[in-house]
Amino acid sequence: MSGRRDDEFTEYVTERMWWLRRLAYLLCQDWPRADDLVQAAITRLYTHWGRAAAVEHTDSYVRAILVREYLSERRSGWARRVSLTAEPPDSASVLGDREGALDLRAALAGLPPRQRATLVLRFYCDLNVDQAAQLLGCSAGTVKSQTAKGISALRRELQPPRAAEPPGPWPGNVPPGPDGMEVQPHG
Amino acid sequence: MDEAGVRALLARVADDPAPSSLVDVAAARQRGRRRMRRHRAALAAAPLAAAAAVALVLSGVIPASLGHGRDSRQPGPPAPRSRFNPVVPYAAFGWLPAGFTTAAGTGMGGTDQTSTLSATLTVGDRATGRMLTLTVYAAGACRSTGLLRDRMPVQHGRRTRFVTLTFKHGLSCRDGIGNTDEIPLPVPAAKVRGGTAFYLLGGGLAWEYARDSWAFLAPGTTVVGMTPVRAFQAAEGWDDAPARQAFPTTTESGATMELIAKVAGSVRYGARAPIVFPFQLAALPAGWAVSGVTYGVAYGLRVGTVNLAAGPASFPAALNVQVQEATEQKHCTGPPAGAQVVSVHGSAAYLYANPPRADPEEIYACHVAGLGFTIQLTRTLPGSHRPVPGLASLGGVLGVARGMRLLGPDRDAWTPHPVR
Repeated sequence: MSGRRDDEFTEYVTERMWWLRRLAYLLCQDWPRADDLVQAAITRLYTHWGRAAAVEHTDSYVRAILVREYLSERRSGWARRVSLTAEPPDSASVLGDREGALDLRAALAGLPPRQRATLVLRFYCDLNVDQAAQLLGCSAGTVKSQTAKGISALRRELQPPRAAEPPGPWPGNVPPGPDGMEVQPHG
Repeated sequence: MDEAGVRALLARVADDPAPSSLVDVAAARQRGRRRMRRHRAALAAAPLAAAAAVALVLSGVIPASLGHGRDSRQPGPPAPRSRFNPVVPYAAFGWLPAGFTTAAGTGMGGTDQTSTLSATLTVGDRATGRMLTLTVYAAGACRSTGLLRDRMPVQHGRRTRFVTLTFKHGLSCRDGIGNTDEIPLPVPAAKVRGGTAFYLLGGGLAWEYARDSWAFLAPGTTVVGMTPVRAFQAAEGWDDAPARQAFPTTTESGATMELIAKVAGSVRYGARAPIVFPFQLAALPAGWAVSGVTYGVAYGLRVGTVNLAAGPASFPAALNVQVQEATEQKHCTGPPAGAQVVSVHGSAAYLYANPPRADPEEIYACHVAGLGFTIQLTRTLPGSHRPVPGLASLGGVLGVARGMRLLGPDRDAWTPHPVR
């Protein structure tokens, strides 16, 4: 019995690995972390395989596990202490094809986790508002507002930089200036 | 950027070349089986044993009550404030370690924001990527949770496992703009200027800076392309004791905690330099107020160019206003799908619903008198179809935009009063 269960599980996971890793990557923007996330999700999937295999849409079941693992990890103390960026914080932004792709990732990485998850569910997984709300455990209104805020933030982040010297043009892009007000002499 | 744009963006990012997979399906099966065996064993045992399988109760080290007294030999605490002015941050960093600046905090991705109940400030050290985030809550914004559970990852080499810890004490803190954060308080620390203090999980410190008023200071790191733990280990000069442990720790190494305690002890409280804004809104509807501001630090100023939220008590962030220096005209994006072109202060602006046919209503202008703006107005209360109280008098998002006074790109002309 266990052998058959294992075979089905392995076949499913192997076949869907490409999709799972990409979904995890979209959520956390970092390949090693994406693999960690998939690892945690499929371990959990194994323990619920009987139910997962029986439902009509196993992919939906697995997607829910993955997204909840991601959000759960983001709420934890470890995730709160470090913020990751896809780009060096001080690097200049130069538009070009490759650099443009980096901008896209940086813009996506700059969204709060729940907002990013909402956009991924709505526009990569093609879930409607109600489906996304059910998966995220929130109201449809929250999904709508998170979607709107996420799109708005992406639009701002992807706005081409002003050619002139700072100040920078858009939110979250405050230019580096002289030291701020509260800096005290060292020591 | 509209929905189609987001779809294209996600598809493009998802097409990034993937490195070889590190996912181990056999290990997942093995661990899954172990987990199932444990689960079955726990179910077969007494309920207490089942609980014990997932929870580690930390006990005996926490005082019976929080905020149980101050050291009378220390300088007196500030008077408790139950509400902050959201346009004048209530706290400021005092002493900082070498290399840390407030400008670097927001420049490195930190978020400085204020609300009626909290103020969050960041400082950073560009050379090493180290950051410190200070959050100060108004009196009464944090309440004791009693027993608090927190599920967290535990690092085993490259792998992460999760454990659920149960703490005897924690705080539930409201930030004044609709969010509540639950924070375990695992281990008492030395008092901070006479106030009760605790080490936080994952490093950092919580302390009662005034009666029923709590502050938190957390270290972090902004490092490129690494998992959090590896990033933390890699930050030069930042002690990495927790990352090497196989279990979540409550303290950094002694040197780092000493440094954090010193920064915490020098925090200054009270309304200080205000945020300045490049705009002024017309009077808000009765019952509405500014609820929060996200701002940047540049050129020695706190600049309210990131976001200002306002609304009634039932929905404090119904209105969101972002006004910044304008981009060059050639870099302006075109109208979003379904947008209506309207005139605001003699220039073109785009009026649309975002997402289409739904809340919030939004207006965007790229270049009006040297400034650009985005204003969002959500018309229904979250989770209901009831309209936001007081909405009628605003005249929609277009009314807000047309009633707004734009002060131009010269910072000397900006104002600390964002509402007329």
